[in-house]
Amino acid sequence: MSEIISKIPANEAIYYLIVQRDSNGAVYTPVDALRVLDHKSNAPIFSFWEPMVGEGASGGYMVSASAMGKMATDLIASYQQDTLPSINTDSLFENVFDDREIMEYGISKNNLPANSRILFPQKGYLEHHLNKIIMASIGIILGLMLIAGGLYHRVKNREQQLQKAKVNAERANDAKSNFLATMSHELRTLVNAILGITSVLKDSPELTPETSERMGLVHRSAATFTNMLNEILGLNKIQSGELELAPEVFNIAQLCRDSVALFTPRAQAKGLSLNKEQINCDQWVMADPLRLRQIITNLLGNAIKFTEQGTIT
Amino acid sequence: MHRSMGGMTIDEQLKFLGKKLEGRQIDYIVTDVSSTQRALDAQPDFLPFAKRIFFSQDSIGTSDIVEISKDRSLIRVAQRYQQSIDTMLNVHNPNKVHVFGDRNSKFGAERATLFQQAVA
Repeated sequence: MSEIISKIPANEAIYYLIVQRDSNGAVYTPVDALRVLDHKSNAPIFSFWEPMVGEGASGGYMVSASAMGKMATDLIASYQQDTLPSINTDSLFENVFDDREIMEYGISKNNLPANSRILFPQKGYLEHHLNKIIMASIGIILGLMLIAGGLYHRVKNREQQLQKAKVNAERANDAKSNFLATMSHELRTLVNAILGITSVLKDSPELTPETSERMGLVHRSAATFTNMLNEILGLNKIQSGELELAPEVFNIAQLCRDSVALFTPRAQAKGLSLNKEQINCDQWVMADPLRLRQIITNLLGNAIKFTEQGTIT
Repeated sequence: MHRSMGGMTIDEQLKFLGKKLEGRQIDYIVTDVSSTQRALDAQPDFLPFAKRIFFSQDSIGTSDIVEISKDRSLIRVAQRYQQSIDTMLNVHNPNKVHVFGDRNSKFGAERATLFQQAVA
């Protein structure tokens, strides 16, 4: 019997009439025989008697054990009332199915008769796996929290590193500014002494023309050096944000004219001419005249320096 | 007479129960298999004051039989194999149906014959 059963595929079915003795003479109880069938079978087993449901049968239209019990109860009640009941044997049949077997064989519940009684009802997929879903969700949340914690730690470390680098950069910049300010001050003190002495000596009548010319060269070099120091200090102040402007109302045309006059000898010495025709209006402005004069003189100086011939306008 | 669980015959089981329940008041005996019904009918002295209610799905006949009295009621239910098979075909829609029965016992042979008649 076992060999035959195991070869029955799932798309076929077994209908179980009660077996009490097989072809070899082996004796079974009906339930034991059904259990053997169910153990070996790949196909669902249907039957006609409710006690088989729960022992391996998927179910079917059958004699209902519970209906028999109810009818027996009604009979006893009638006996006690000293009456005889009417019996309707139709009520003893019922569609009964084992939900475990139905699920195992993939039978759609839509195929079951509408008034079926379901034994051993199983949970739905979501309900059946609810614990696993909750545990998986908790695992995912914990994982995300760990990742978020790690990221936060890394961002915090990076932020601290950047803050430290910023502080170091500011300290280095302060050190540079202090160094430049100190060095410029010391150098300018020395150069001012050279400027003062050469200013007197270069015009001294006691010097020969050649020596006087050389003394004038020293004086001009010292003056250029002073200008360079001032430019370095000004640049340093701009970089460190310490440059302060002193705005006032003044005549910008006059400032331009003075600047041009200052550079006229240098231009003439190089064979260049400065065109002053555009500086013919008296325009009063609010600005820092010292810084503006620096700008104009720098422009003029560069213009003369990099112009080989012609006119500077 | 077929054997049931424990290897005892129905007669042996009734004898065992008779001793076990001796001296106790039993008002009703309810059975749901024909073999027990037949055995009890053959032993009227077994719990003689208990009223008997028998449900029988035996292989005798294809019509329902209802006998009711104050001391003994028998509801003999004829199996509805054709309806049972139809339900199976609607529920599972199998390519083939294998019927497992028993022709090696008198009871099984009678049931198998009735089944064949019902679905023929």
